[in-house]
Amino acid sequence: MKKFTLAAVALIAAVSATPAFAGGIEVSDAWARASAKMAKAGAAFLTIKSTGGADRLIAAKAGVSKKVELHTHIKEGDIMKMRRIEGGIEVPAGGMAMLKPGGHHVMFMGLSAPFNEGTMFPLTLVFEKAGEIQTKVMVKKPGAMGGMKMEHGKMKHN
Amino acid sequence: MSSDAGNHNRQKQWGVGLLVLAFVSFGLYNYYQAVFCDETIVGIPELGAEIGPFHLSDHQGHSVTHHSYGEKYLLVSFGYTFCPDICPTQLASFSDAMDLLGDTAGQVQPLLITLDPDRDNEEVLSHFVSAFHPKLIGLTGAEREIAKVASRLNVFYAKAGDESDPESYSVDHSTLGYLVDPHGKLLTVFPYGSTPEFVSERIKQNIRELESKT
Repeated sequence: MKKFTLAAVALIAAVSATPAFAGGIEVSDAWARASAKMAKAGAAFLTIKSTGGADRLIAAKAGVSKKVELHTHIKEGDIMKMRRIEGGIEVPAGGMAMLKPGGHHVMFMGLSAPFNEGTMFPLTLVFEKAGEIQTKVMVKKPGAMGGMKMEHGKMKHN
Repeated sequence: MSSDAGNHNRQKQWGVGLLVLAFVSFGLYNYYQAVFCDETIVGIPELGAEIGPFHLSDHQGHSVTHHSYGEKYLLVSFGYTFCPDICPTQLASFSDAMDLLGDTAGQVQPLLITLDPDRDNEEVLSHFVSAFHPKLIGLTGAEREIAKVASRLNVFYAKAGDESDPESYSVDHSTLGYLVDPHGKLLTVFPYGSTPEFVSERIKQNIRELESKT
């Protein structure tokens, strides 16, 4: 049983680590934090790479919540303001766009069920040029940072 | 003779003038630093500010006041459960800091005071706090009680977005963490992004310093 669980976890990890590709755009490492029972909101983070020209992430779709939007944080002094991104997120030609804690994220509002640690859910990202790309979001623990280290006093939010 | 005295007076006037200029510049410089520079934390409360008195409820539905935690130091964060990123990041850091405190952990009570009492009732809070740390206590209550605590610690908060839709609005808010002594007085603050190591070391250091004085 334990072996089976381990194999299942390894399989899930392998599947979620596989990048999703289309039109020179690659989406990888999509993850979210587990949400509490009764939680109504969640966020997903991911990496977008362009192997070709510039593109723009303009929307996201998922069946896990009533609304899915692209959000960012604006830091004013020590005040954080979460806002919807108008006009999408730019992916530079041959470059990357990171959706990560403290910055941009895919925001899920009105969750139909909480995100449970260790599970995955499908997410569709809509790009201006590459069109729709499907990916899987891996749910990690509630305080996960997705491999990002917090660096004291050096966090800059542009 | 009189011209000598005149020179002397003029020198004196110049001296006083320069001194005044120096004071004014220093004041203006500090004002500029405080108001316009990114590096300065806007909204930082004065150390020694009092967190209480307050009357709130914890996530188990018990009435609590500023006296409820006895001789404990309070590690306070403000946030809301709809917050998908900033609050979990801070709570995760504070939870790890609690684990790093070792023997000192028994002297520290971590608290999350919601800035969104409309959505965060005891039940919602209870599921949220238990996801982070077994010792973390969530506090909610009347909006005016929360506003009192927030204003004492210079915590800014304001609803943003469609307030009429409980599944959509967010709350802009200050992201500092606060360490409060057993008398309810503010000892230090932790900027957003502080590592668990930094937070736990600062807590230990503050407790050591305070206890060596008594």
